Amino acid sequence: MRNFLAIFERELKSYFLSPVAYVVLGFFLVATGLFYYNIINWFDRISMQSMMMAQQYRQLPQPINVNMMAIRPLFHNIAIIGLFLVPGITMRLFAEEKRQGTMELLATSPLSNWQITLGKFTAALVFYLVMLLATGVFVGLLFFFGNPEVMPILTGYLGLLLVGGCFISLGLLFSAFTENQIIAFVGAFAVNLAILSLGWLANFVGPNLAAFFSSLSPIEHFDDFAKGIVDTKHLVYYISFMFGGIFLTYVTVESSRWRGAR
Amino acid sequence: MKKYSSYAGTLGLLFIAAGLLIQYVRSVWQWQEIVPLAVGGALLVYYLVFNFKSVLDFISSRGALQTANAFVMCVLVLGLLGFANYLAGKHTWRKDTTAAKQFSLSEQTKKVLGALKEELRITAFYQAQEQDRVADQFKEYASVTSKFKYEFIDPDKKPDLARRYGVTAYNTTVVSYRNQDEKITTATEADLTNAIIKVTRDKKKKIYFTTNHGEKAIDSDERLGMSAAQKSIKEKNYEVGTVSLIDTAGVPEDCSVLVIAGAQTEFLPPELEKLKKYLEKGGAAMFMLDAGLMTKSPLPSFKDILSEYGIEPNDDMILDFSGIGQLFGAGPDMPVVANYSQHAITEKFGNFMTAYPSARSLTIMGDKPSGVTAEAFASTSGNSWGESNPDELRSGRVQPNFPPDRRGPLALGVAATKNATADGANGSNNSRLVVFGDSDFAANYLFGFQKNGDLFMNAISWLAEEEDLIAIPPKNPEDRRISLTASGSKMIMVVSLFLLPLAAFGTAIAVYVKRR
Repeated sequence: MRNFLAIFERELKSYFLSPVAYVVLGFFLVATGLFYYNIINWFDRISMQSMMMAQQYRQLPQPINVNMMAIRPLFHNIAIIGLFLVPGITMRLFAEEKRQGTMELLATSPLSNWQITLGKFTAALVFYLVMLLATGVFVGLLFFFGNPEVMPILTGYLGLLLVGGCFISLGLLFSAFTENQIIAFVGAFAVNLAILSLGWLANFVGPNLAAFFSSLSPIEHFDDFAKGIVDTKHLVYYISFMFGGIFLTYVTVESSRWRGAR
Repeated sequence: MKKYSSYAGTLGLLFIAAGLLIQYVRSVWQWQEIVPLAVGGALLVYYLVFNFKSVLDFISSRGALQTANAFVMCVLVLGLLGFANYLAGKHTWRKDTTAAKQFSLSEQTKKVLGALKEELRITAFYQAQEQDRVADQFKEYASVTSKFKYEFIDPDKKPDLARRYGVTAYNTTVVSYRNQDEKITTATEADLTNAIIKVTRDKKKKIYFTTNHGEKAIDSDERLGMSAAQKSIKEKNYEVGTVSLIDTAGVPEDCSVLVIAGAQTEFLPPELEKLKKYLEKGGAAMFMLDAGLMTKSPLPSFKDILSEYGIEPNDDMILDFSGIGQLFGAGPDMPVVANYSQHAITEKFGNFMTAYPSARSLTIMGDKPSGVTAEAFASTSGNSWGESNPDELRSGRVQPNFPPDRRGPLALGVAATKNATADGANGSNNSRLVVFGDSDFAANYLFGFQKNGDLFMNAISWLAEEEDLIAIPPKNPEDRRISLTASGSKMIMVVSLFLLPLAAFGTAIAVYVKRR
């Protein structure tokens, strides 16, 4: 445990002491902020129109729900933006160590490869959580202008954390493959995108295959969380996805000992 | 030669992969497939010949063993994870945290879905941009049982499929089970679940038409026949039969709805007895009574039965001077109905028209017997009256004389229920009646006119289904808006577009400067 904490702290510190992480955070906020601003303006217009329609036709206004119509699509956008930017926070985790030659120090240290892998993963997850919390400001602002439901927001963030965890575990794996950060970034990004497109592919195949394909895509599992639904099958999916990624990373790191690679 | 052999291995594998891909795409074996495979094979052999020793060394090395070990372990772990997900998909725990429980299905729906024995297939014809709206609903159904399979089809992109299912309108959902189809045009939980109940029913409900009294013939393709109505009834998954109450011991046991489609002669007392008995036991019947003034068949015998339901058929003929009928080239003797009351039969009708040539009016009695409800669902406009003088009608010079003529609006279609003495064939504890002042509206030549056919079918469904159908109140999300003032809007813009991103970039610069 102490070993795990040591590597976790070291990685977390290097995040917050490096300008690169803040640049990633900045771009993340630029992208989410743009989507947020557009969605809220659109939603405001729709609310206004429905109110006017109701008055014109003397009817009760149609229920308009900020959680379903604004926050849910915002969460989807945040998840997709995460897909693009998470490789940016994972690319250096192993690649940097290999390039600087510190990987050998780690390998000869009393730390086990499990502790190293888990410590790096958790540090990246915590940094991703900080990114998510920053977007919490956007959602929190809405409480000044209305009363959104709290529970679906919480489940939405839980879902975002889990989706991000999947992206991080894949990014970690690609970082362990190479000493070149750019290759780690591009590889993780491409695989993320490929897995995402499995969900799109589901639209073009029959109903049986569609269910299978969409059950593979992290984004498809995310929709229920964004709606405000917690389902054990999604939890199991995310946890096993992350475990799979971490396990493959562990095997990759372990194998470098006998492969003789750096 | 040896110098290039290390590239030959990679190149050979590439050629083989390319050959297999081409074969997969073209699905034939011709030179385009065979040549790359042969070249790839040759390159591999070339590589092996010159590198045989190093390959052998690698296979027998410790590294190879460990690689194989690691590979097997990865496959095992990933397989286990896949299996865990398979199990988790079978047994789920699901919690809807929204305040309105808007994604929770009712207990009735879950029960219906739990009873499915075979795959239930939903084919939803929605345009691409409309699909998301109902996908949430379908997902909830699919999460209850794996036997619920749904598929969206854009009718604009696949018109052939739409034609095969006989779908003509957007937002039509076809529910298929075994070999039965049921179409619905709204995908609310109530409609969807009721459609599932209908297609999964083991035995089809049977609609009987009486014969031997000059009723309209259900097999006849003639202008006044009812073959079009019969076809519609069968499409709705009912069976159709005829019954003569003279020959049989009574109304058949499996009769869900008995239709008397425009009888021209009196029912005999024993027939009326059987009819009464059927209704008392909770039966459902549709009376289509034409105006009898001209043909001298006012059919007084039905009046007794109908009066028990608080309905009085009048001996008159409705004349409609609202002018709507003239738009279709019809005279005043074809009243047109464009206003419907809020009844299950006419619920979704809006302002569509239905037309009834030479119809009689119906009156709902002021003092109905106890346990009886009667409601007019279709009435004529105020510019109509019920002419009761046959001489005026014959001469063609009609004048409203109130009374005995009746002022519009006049009821043309009435639905009634009455507490029954015993549980009927449909398992209900009340008998149901629909009375029309006309039978021609459902004849072949008018069945396709505006909404005539739909009205007839809705009345049949109401009579046959009422007690099976379940009511599920629609679940809407709670109304939660935000109201942005001008300054609020500016605040959102400043925070989301400038403040937060700039703070992050500012920190980045500060950290960078400090580290330098």
